[in-house]
Amino acid sequence: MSVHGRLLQVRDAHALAAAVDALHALGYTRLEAFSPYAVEGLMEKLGPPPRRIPLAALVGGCIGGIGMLWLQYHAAVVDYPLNVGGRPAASWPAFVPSAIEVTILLAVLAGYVVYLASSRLPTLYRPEFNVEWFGEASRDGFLLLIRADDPRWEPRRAAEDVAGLAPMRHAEVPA
Amino acid sequence: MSDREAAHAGTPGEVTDIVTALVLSRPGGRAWKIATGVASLLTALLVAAVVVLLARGVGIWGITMPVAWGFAIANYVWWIGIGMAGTFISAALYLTRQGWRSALNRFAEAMTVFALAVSGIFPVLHLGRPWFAYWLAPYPDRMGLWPQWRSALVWDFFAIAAYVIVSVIYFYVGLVPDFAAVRDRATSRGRQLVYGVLAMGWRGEALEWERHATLARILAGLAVPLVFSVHSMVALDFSEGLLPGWHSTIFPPFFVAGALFSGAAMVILLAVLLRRTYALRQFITDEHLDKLAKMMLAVGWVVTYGYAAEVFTAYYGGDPHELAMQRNRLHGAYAWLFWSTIACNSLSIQALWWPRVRTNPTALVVIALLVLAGMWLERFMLIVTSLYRDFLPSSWGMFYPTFWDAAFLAGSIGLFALLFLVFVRVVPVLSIAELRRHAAERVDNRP
Repeated sequence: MSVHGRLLQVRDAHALAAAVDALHALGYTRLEAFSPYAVEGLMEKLGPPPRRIPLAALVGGCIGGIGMLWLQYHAAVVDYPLNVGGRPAASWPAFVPSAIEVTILLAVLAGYVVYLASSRLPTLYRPEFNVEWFGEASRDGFLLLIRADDPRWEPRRAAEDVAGLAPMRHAEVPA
Repeated sequence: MSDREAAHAGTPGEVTDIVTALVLSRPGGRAWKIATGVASLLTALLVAAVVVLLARGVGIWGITMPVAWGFAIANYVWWIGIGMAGTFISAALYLTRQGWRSALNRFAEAMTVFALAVSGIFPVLHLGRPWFAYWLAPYPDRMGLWPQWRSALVWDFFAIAAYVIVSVIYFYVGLVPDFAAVRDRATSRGRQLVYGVLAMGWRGEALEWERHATLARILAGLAVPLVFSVHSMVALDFSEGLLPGWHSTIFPPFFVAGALFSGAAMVILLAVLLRRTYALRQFITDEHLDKLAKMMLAVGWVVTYGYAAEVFTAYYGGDPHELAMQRNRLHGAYAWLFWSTIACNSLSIQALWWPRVRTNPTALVVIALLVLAGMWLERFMLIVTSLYRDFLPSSWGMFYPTFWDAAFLAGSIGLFALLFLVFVRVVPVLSIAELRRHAAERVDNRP
């Protein structure tokens, strides 16, 4: 049976941060912390801040705005110019409203798609769900996982290291 | 209690249990069943009305020349306006870090999505040949035609499309952690499956939370300008026309304020009903009602300023057509509409100056209903008073609604109510994730 890692539950958010520090001190690097709400200061210990989402929204917004202006210009000036009483074909102020809406729309869509991709959502099967008490993380439980792909991973040693933290409970997570 | 602190009780665990129980175990109750029955009947009436409309055309409505816009456009503007408060409470109050919004934002966002769904029906059906609605979208077609980019109708198409998509994404992003909470509490296989799929495999991992918060901030920052632009665009449908009473620069801000006003009234109505039916007093407190009522009072004054500015501009500008329109509005055949609007929207809210009224649910429901009715009357008044006296006396005429006009209005209310009633039973009505965090902060800060 392959193993995904070892999951442990601690009492509260402070204990969770302390457990992350303790495991880092032991040399573990691939840790995942689960909590019922965002614990301040925890993210910095576990990985880089998400910079790609704002960037994607910016790029998406630019594409939406410039693309929509271009589309309207192309349609009204190049592809199907319509002379109504000699008014200019490139009446750009009238192109602004639609361009604003599409700017916001594509910024949101791009940000959302990159958010989903970077969080690997949707992934309906997660090995953690095999642990019966994993649901505590969506109530008031604070859980920590040492992943089996951690360079320092060795099943028996991980179990001993985790037990050394005196968690409320811990269990091996089957893959 | 400070402004920035959320007002509710309980630990993170209790919050989760109470709100998920609403979906998983607590019975809906008799009130829910009766309301759902009535709403279903009205929705059936709407479906029948749509079928008749598709078969016989927009002639079943009372619209004719010169009043070619009637109930349908009033309904559209009214419903899309009601949607605004949800986005405002979710996004603008999030950006300004108003913690108290956490008890309101979920059902307010749902209200936005449903109000938009109902609102979108009307402009499409009003096209006359709704099966050609897709012609509004730019796409390479064999006829080589493009939409008319300078038309407010096309701007509206983009505004509504963007608003619908962004609102649904915003609503769903906030829901994912809460669906995970329901998934983890569900006991039946079917519910585990449905909520498991809806939760998309959310685990509450630290980096997941961080990305979630980043996306929420970006969405909020984009939703605020979006919602202001959408209601401005709705106003441009009117003010791009050259008609006296419509062709005015005050329309965009006036419509934004009117939208927030009617939306606040709907949020108050839903908040009072939800908290009474499902005993959510510890989450939706008197303080929430007080703040919502203050918001409604403040924005009501902006709307009242809009009425005053319209009259003032007409008399100060001295344009004979503007003056004639204004005189007709104040004293003509539809004067009762104008004065009812003033009574509902400007006078009834003055009771909210008294703190006791702002925390009295019954009084708030009465005022909210008056405001909702007043805002519908205002939309109808704006349409009909500018149209019924055209520039030439030969094109003067009254508007007489038909049975189908009334059926569409009642049916749209029924559809909105039905959607909301179903939402209450299948989706967590309060934002569990946010309330959990506030609860934890409270527990942490306990002396």
